[in-house]
Amino acid sequence: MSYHPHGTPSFRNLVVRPMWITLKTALRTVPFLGKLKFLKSGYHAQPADMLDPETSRRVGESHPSSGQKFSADRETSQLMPFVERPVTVMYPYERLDDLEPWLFVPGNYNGRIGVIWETCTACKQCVRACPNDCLHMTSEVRVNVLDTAEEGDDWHGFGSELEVGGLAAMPREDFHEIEEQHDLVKDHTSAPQQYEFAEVIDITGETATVNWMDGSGQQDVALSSIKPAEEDIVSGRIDLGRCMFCGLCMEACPFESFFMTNEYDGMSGFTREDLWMDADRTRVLPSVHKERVDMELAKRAKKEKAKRERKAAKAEA
Amino acid sequence: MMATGDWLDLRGWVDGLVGWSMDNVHDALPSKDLDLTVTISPPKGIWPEDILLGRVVNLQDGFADMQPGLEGLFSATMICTVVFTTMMLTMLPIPYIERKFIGRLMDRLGATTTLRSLWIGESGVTAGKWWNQLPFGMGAPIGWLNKTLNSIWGNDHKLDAVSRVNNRGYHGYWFLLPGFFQAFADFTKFAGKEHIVPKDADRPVYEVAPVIIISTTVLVFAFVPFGPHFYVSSPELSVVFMMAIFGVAPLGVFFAGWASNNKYTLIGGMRSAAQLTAYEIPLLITVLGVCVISGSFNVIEIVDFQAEESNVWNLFMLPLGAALFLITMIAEVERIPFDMPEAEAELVEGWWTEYGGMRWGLMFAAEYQRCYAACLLFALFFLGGWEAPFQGTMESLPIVGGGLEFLLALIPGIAWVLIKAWALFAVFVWIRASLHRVRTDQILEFGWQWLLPLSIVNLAIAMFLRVWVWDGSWGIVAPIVMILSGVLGLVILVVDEDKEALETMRRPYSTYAVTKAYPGRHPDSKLEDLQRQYTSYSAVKAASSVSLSDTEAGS
Amino acid sequence: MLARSSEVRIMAEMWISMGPQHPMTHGLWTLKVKVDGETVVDTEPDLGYIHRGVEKICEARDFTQITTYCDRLCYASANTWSHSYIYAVEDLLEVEVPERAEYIRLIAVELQRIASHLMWLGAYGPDIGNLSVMVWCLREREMMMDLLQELGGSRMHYNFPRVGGVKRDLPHGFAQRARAKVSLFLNRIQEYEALFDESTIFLIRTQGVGYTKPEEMVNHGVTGPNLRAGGVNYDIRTAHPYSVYSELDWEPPVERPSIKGADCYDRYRVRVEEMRVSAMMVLEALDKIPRGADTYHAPGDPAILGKAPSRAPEGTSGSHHFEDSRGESMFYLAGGGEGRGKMPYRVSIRSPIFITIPYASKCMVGYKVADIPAIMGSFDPCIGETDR
Repeated sequence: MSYHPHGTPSFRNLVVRPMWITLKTALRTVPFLGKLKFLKSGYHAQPADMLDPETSRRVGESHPSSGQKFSADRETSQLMPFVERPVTVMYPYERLDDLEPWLFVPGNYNGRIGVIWETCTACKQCVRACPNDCLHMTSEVRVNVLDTAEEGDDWHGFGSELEVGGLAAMPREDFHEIEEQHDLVKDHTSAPQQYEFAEVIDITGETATVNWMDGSGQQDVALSSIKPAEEDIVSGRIDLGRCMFCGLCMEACPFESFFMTNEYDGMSGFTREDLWMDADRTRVLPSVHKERVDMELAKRAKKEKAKRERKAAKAEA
Repeated sequence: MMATGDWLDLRGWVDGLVGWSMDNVHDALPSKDLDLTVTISPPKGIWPEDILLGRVVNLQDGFADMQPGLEGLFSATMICTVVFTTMMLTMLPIPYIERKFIGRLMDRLGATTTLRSLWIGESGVTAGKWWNQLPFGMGAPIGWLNKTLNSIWGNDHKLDAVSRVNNRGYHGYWFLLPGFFQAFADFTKFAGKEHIVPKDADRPVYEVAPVIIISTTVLVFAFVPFGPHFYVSSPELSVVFMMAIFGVAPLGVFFAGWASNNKYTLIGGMRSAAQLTAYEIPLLITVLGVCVISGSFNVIEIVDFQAEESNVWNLFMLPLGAALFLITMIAEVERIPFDMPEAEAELVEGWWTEYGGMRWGLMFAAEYQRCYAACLLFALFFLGGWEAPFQGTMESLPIVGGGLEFLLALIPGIAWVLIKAWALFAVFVWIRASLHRVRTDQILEFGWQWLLPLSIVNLAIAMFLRVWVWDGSWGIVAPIVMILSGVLGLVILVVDEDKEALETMRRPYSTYAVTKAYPGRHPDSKLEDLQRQYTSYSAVKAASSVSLSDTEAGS
Repeated sequence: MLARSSEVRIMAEMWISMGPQHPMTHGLWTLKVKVDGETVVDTEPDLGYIHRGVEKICEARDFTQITTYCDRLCYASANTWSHSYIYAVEDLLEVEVPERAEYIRLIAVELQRIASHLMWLGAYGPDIGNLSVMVWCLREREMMMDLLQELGGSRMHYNFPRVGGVKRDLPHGFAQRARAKVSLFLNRIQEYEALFDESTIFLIRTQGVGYTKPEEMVNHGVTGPNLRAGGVNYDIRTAHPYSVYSELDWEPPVERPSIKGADCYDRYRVRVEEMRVSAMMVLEALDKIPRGADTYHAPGDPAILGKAPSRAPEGTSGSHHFEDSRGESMFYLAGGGEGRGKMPYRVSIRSPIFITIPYASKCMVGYKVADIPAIMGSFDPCIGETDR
């Protein structure tokens, strides 16, 4: 109805009703009293599960949210799930990554840019899509995605060859540990340094003489321990000072290498230049990275394989 | 002025201490006469007699002459200091209550930060887990209880960093009352800020305004007794003086609003002056009603009247008076709903916009001190002051009366006064969180049209009760009748609902805009009426001279 | 009667500038009022403080990029503005939008409307003096923001619609969360109403204050909740239906004002009822959405994004009237701009509050200074869209 059923100026409305409503709100914040039925207003309220079936399946039974009913701003205590209390997340001491970001910052969140540099082909679609002109090209030394496949992988062998005068990369011993321990939240100033890059001076048989780029001199290494690397032009340098996190760049990328991650941290600095995020500062979660690299690797290796088969068929014919 | 007994006999102790020390000084002084006379025998040719200069001094007697004056001085100084310090310290819970309670009412605070149980320490540590020291593992259930309560209400969090933030004990007293000393931090901050005077401000008036406000506010506490023997001074007309000095602060507010050279503060000052003046009168008449019913203008005697003679709190005898006092006091201290002079929505900070630094800090403190004074006065006038609820009844119970009397005597009177004042302040805060701001002209209308007649009615009731009903005690009928009438009045008011207005959706009369609003039409300006008829000054002059001759002819 | 003309003086009439930075003005604009004591005699609004040149910027962006700017027009109600623009583009390019996308758009727009009205209510309470309700409304708005965050990817500027559809489908579990949160919100509206309608002081502050006559409003071009408070049943969603509004069972709330016109209380009432109506619409749309609310289509799937050309040749134009939270917003696009038509030649934006503010300032004459926040707040100004 248009007018409120009790909307008249009267003494009841002068003092009693407003003060009673605020007192109810205050009482709701008290742990046990807050659960009393009469403090809750009655209509349209059906208790709802905290998580939908899909998310509960993903987070599992042991997650603190299992078994709880939804209440917009309350948390139930661990010991007594039926006792509610208001909860404040003490950001920045308490990061939501500890509490499973998918609950609070959903996967679709337009967070920090993340780029899978291995799969970027510098097609410039993202640069064109940006309304604010905040993407620029740089170049980076990296291992081509086709070369990241190990021996024994399905898609091994479709990459390029090592050449004298070219670049090489040797995976470090703790290759996988580096990837796993890379804390995106705190280590946002550089990428996981998984490879050591070097220039190839000479290749003789099964050994190659390489000159390490970090200045530790020349060394002979086994050919099987290094992979070819290249210096590529990639879409680098995102100027976060101009970025408005609209997500158009992510949609423009045809190679699934450009993402907006869930991260809202790691983007601060003291100067404008600090906000220019280069390739080494726009990494995605290792699991996502791996997934995407594998996908792109499979796609390109398939294409390469088809191309070689066609070439072989033509050579035969 | 006999007051009910209380072991916290501050005046007695101070008098005793001072007297004892003065007596000691007296005794320590030499009691022998000191012959300080000098006899000069001039040569016989110049002066015939001996000249006697100086006199005999007895230090002890001399001191004994001065002693009463000295004792008075010292004991007055000490009592003033102690009472003032007590007032300041007991005022600290006021902003604390405001902050925490309003946070709850606004649904901003959670259980974990404010409600800390006494047995729960930081991160589960309580006095070194003393229960583990009990033999035979008797302490285990206590430990379980501690852990449980800690996990529900306490500070335990699985993240250390969160515990650190939750345990903000350095701003409170160990585990209790976090955020208690925020008030100190605030005042230190204010003290460090620059004193800025606006360029075209009226400097003498600008400077004197905060002086008036803060000094008159603090002076009120000169006569507020915190306990039966815990007051600075108690002259016969203490209520009159307190009300008078309470009412000087509006003058300071008006000065502040005018002197700041700011249109906003001017409006705020005007509103404040109008509002405070309008509510002084019902306030004074209500207080007069209390004094009439208690038979004295002395605060201590009023409390004694409730405690000793009538055994009924004035709240129950004069429910209307209590309500009026509450409303007028909220208007006097300029809290929501009577917040217009400092309405943040329009006037930023109202009449104190231009003040910075300690002057603003002191005026802010003065606002809370006036609140505190209002709460204390309500507790003293209506809630029986330092008497426990049902004290008389409890003490006269047949078997347990003696024990209860003993237990009640253990609690000093100041505790009751403070509890009542703080509880009343919580009501002030509750009102602030729930109600909207009333517009200035509506405030004034309410004050003059409703509160003034009601206060006179209240005075009449008080006079009737005192003159015809009082005969050494209230008897049994009068309190019951008054309480029932109060309850009945409240019930009638609460249940009231104008169903017909609801259906026809009629609006309250006072808010009808009587004249239609359109640009250029200003309902109160007669000049504009004239200006619409005449276009030039000379025409106006000619028109008015016409009317002048009319009135001359008519008179 | 005037005795001596030489003593005729105007007492203390002064201009007060409620300047760009002021706690009450709901945005950055100056309202100069001439007061005589406490009565307002004249007003003069002064806009343009946050003019950003959006219309000109859009001439150098292509159609997908302009959506991001339209969110920032009225930041409190971002989705309604970007959708308003998108419908205009679809009129220009003559694009067919799949029905599921229309339902998703409706859900986004109505959730945004609720959030916008909650923001308004949360600001209106403190204007009148009640501080508690601000926190409560923002608490509820957080729920809506969470839902919109799930949908659009951020809390304020979502960039949600695309030419021909929407950016993403409803995420997993969105329907369940939306139903829970909207039900909880419907629950809590009662409490806000209690603090407003059932509070005498609010009634005496807003009833009888700021009368606006419906015929004056129509002449002036005021639309939206302000107009419906005056009794004029004009809601673009019903008058010129677009999207799938005609398929849902709802009615725009219209007040019956007194003979003097609509006062602040009527405008408040309309918005509260609109919140309720929008909430019910969201619940209904979740039930009626084609293919169900729990199916998920990848971004770019034809079920949620139709095919659209990217160039608008010279000589074409498109416009659309849209019911924004504050009134009727309209975009007019002329094709044939740079990039051989990839960018529009001209973008013209009609902002409802830009039309309303001069009228609202006129309404304040004759009332008290203390009524200024009540009246100004009741028109729900948002200066982002006013200044563009």
